[in-house]
Amino acid sequence: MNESSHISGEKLELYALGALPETEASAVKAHAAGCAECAAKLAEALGDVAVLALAAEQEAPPARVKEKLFVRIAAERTTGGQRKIVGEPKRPRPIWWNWVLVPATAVLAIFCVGLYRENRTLTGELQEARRMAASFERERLHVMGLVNALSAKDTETIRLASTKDGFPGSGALVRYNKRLGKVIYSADLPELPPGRVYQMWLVPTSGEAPISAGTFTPDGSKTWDAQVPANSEAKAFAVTVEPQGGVPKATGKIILLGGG
Amino acid sequence: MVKPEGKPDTRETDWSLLERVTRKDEAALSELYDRYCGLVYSEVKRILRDTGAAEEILQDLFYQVWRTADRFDANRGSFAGWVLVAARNRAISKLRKKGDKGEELENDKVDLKVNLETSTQQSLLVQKIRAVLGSLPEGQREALECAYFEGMTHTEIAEKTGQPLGTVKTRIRMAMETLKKVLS
Repeated sequence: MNESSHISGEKLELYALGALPETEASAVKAHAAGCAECAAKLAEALGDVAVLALAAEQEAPPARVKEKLFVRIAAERTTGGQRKIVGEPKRPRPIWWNWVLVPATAVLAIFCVGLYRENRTLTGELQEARRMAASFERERLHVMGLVNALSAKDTETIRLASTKDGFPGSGALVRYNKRLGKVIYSADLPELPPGRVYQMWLVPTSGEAPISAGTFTPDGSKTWDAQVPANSEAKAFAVTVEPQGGVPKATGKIILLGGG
Repeated sequence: MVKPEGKPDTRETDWSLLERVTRKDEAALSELYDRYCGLVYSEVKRILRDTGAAEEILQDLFYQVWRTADRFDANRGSFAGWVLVAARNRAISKLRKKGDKGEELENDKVDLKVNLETSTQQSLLVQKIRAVLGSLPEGQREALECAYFEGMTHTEIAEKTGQPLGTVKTRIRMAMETLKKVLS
């Protein structure tokens, strides 16, 4: 391959997905290394593919991972500063020097350990404060988004009622802002057995597959909210019962339904 | 993203934090970790279906960031893109018991068209990507997920699904076109 025969976009995407056999992948890599145009397109393809990571069920890692990371870094700092001087001839040290050096070193070591511990404590407190500040900011932005959506004039209210497959007397109230793609809802539904959740769906007028507006488990007067692609025209909203974590395509029967 | 009007975003960019990490600023690494640990952990866990291995890769990746932050610069594209690609490559290498594939790709530039620096931006995009994947025809979604989350080549996907190789390539191309259209 040379610059006059560039790699096709399709092949670059297959490469970025890791879907090319090794021989073809090596050829793509070798070509891109010497062709600025294909290298730029490859960077784009890698970016387009990278967002697929967000399709995974989102979960925060346990706090211990971060703790271990910083312990590892602290250990590196402690041992990384040691340097051996090689090639320097050893000179005999006077014996009386040890009587001074040993206690002084011990005192210094205790002092350093104290300083190190204090530093770790302060760093931990600072990190915790930063985490809390970031968490408050996230919550503030989230609440502002909800307030904006609820107070917008173009927000519609849709009442969902039980279907023949649902629970008699149950229902839900959905506030939907098409422009913002924001769905806010509350529901009056019975508890489900373990491993099952309710899932809200926006049924598009276009006839395309319903769009998930999140899963929920009734809990007193709680409300839930979800983001769907902006300007999604809603024919109706529906609720199904699905496995824990939700599903990309509805599998359960519709138990609540309402809308235009 | 809903952003308060009149108030500038005072958050530090990834590149600014990385610059601080090169000066061995632990608070900056902590901030970067907090930004992306959820995305990385969830991605790796989905690929490997192993909590311990996902924790190990997450820790190793950010330890590498700590040690080699000076090798990153804006010419290498987006940090978020890099971290997602690097995490996936490591997970796929582990899944397929290959030692070198992941390391090779980690030097590639990654141009991410979206900003993932805040949790709000991340949640919006999570919803968007899920909605796109949920709306794809079954065959297209399966082909994309087999490649991305299971590290299968197009030939392997063709064998698994019993479809001709050309059909698999077409499905992947069409799925990527839909994805790009939504992202743009």
